[in-house]
Amino acid sequence: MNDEMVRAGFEHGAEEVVPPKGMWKRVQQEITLREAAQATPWWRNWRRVAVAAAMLLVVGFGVTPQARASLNEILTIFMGTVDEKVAVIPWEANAYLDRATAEGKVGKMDLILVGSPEQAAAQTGMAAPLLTAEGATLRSTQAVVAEALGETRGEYRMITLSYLVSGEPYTVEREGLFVGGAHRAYGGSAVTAFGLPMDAEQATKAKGKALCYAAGTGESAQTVCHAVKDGFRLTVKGPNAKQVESLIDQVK
Amino acid sequence: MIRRAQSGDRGAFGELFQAYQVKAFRTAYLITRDRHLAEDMTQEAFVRAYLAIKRCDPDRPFAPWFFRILINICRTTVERRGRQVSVAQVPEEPTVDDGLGPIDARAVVWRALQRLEPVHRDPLMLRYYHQFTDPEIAEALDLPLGTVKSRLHKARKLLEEQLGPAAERDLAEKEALS
Repeated sequence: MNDEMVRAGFEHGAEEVVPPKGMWKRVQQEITLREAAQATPWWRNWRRVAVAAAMLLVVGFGVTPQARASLNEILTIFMGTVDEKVAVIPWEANAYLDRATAEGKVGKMDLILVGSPEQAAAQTGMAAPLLTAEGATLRSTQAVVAEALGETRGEYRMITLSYLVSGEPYTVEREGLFVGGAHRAYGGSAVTAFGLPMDAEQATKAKGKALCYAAGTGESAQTVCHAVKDGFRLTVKGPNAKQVESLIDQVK
Repeated sequence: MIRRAQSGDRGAFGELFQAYQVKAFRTAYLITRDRHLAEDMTQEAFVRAYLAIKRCDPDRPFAPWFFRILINICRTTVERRGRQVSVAQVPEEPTVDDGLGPIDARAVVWRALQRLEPVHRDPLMLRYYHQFTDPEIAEALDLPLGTVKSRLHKARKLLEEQLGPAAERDLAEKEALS
């Protein structure tokens, strides 16, 4: 078998397959949309305003299971129908986490970083050591970001809610960053908002600097998996992308 | 051209698009085997490439960098959608020497290629369809150079096994005649 035969085989497979007309126009439109989205201040983005309003509502009512469930439902439906590329982390990942724990899947995940490297870089000053669920790999945000800067292409946006809960400005630079590690002991902002348990050492490390989503339960891998299970498209990038993807596949 | 695109010249990126769109679309099709999906994936790859163009080294070829994005998108999507055609799903077709008449040798090879797992098929595609060098394949697939070489070797071996000695001999003869 010579090289030409192999090449001819591939050419046969792609024979008569030509790109449709107008693709360049659509690419340009999509580029314009995404650039505009990156440049839009948060208060002019109605989706973010809606998330902020919903969060304030829940905080105002107190964090009851019913409120959590309602918010999760509202946000998931709300955001999910708007843009399938935007995943809202489910508020309550407990059920899934419990099941994953029972199945021995907790602790197998490495941390996952999604979002663009630029956005990640903007957060390095705020990064804190990430504490993951028991048995999971312990890594620092800085290490994840450093690797991401070299390896990732920045594919996916997730709206994290902790910024809103913590009262910190929800700036454009922060939009889209999701740094894993939502263990309840980790999130300073979640602790502040909800009084979740945290020991002194963890508080020292995390308080005021930590980024997490506001559920305070579960860890990043589980929530990401949850989003995947809910049908959101997710691109995992970085040095561990293949490993992470295969692990995610295990829990699909 | 890359430098111009990096400076925000969308026209320059348009030239890159024109230069690579056919190969990109066909590559996406070879991986997904779905025209609509291939269209989406190609479009998405170009969008992402544009948004990330500043991270492309202008002193190196554009293709490996771009196809890395494209292949990753395609693979992820195929896996997510469960559209990967497994070996078992590839239809059985007559072989070259079954006496059923003239058969396009290229089709026989293509069918054999489809039976390869992506891990072996993709390096072959980049080598023989895109004519990438080993280092370029390594970049496009995000693999160490040694792994690329071993996978290419293994892929060729598997392909030869798929075709079988008799089929391969017949194909070689057809090739020589054409």
